Amino acid sequence: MNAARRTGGRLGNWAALLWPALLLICLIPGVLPGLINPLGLGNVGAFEPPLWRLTLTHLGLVLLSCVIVLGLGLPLAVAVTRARRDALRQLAETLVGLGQTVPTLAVLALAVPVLGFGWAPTLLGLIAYGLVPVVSNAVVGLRGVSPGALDAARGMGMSARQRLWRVELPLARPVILAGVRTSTVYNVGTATVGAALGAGGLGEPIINGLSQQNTALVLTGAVLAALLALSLDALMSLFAAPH
Amino acid sequence: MIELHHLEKRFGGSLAVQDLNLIFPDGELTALLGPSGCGKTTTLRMINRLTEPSGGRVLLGGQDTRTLKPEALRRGIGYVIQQVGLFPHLNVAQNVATVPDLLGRDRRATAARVDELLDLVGLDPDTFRHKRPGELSGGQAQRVGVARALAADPPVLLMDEPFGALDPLARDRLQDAFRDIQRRLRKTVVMVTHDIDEALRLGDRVALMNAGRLEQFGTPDDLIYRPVSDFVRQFLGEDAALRQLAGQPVGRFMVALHGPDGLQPGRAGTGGAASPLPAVAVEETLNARSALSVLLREGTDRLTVTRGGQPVGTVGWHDLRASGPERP
Repeated sequence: MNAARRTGGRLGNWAALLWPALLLICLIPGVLPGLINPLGLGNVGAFEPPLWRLTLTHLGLVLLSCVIVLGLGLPLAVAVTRARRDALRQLAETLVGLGQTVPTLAVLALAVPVLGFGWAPTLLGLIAYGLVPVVSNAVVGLRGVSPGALDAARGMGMSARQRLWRVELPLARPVILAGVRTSTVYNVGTATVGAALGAGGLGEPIINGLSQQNTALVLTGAVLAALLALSLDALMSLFAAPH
Repeated sequence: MIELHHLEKRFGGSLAVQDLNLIFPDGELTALLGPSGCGKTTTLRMINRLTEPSGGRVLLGGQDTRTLKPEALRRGIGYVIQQVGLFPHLNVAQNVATVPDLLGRDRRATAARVDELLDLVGLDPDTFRHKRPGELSGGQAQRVGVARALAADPPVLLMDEPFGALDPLARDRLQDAFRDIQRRLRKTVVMVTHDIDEALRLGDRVALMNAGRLEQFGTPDDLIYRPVSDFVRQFLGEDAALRQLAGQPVGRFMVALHGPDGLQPGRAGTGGAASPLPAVAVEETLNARSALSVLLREGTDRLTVTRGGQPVGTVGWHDLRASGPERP
């Protein structure tokens, strides 16, 4: 049984590399225009900056927002799941939920007068949007830790800090990582909006395509953003797998 | 030795435990028995301060537990609960090693200690060391739970309905195993249970609680044959004596053939010829309640007790009663 699970796992590992491989192939200069131009939707020429630079910028935006989201969301979730903080937890969930109910475009538009154009307002939008799945999953994961395990941990003399690091976080890990994964994949899509604010990334060909009525250009940006999302999702599934 | 002095716990307006005075003697297993809601679990949890008392004192080896840090206090006390509470992300060996790790003990010594403990609770270390709690049966998981509580060799063990969630067969086996372990280790054990059979079977002493107060504290015999109140009599039930017999092998009650009383009663001095033994025989490992049932079924007064088929003694009505009032 163990051997079967191991080979199954290895096959899954290889499948997870499929999307990143496809993404890399599409980034070779000339490959994507060669595939899209025959569709007769418009004309795609050489890009300035090149597609790989746009993809890296996009990835940078997403990963940076992801790190900030984790840095804010995880301590917040831990803080509100301590004993006798039910009211605080509900307040936090409502406030965090607001970030996802207000449309990202509105967040960006409101942020521009304060933060100017570029990465700053885009990051703010991504953080507001990405915080929800991370915080709510972390809260669910931490609250789902078996009361028996917690009582045993306390009864054996673990301090609050030891219970958090040795019992609660490891047990909540799969649920927390699932939240991070959702948040990251959402934000690959959301980050395309950032191009309108001059943050660059894969939104650039999309916005240029819209203004030039060039569907092929829109398709180029969309395909790459989708492949990037699928790649990140697949790579993160490797980390989320139970050890 | 654990001493409770005027211990009290108030939840809101109601008293869960009031004016409780008890001494748990060293090296003995005391069963905290009582109906649900009688305060027995609260009492247990006040000993290692998982619940803080509202009043009174707990002395552990003469020291007031309030003078210790709760974490330090708990690391020195073994703790076993009904839900077992093994950590599902750690394997069996890591679970057992929890408290030695918290105490910063040497890794290699701990690994040897883990194997020793798995052996003690009847689990083969090579088979079970690397298993995850999810791969264990209920009985196996609770054996690991007991091993984990004993890991740092604490003098005191607190157990909250440790066998309550097991099926009857696994419970019987684990109770037997635990009785053997306790006979060897002689820990000071406080075991919460609502199961009368378990209390009579495992307890050197039983503390029967009712509505937050101590109703009676004594040996199982005291509670059965010398109940101090109607509540005690009713709680143990009319068949209390039978329950107690059920927990003991008939061999404990027999009159040995070659002992000081070795001759058959009423047949002394027949000049060396073997006196006839009772026709009906039972093995010495049979529980005494079943032996009593055999006496009733066969309509006879005495049974032969055998060991591996060889007669070693006899037992009759009076011997079985001897677990009761006449015994010191």
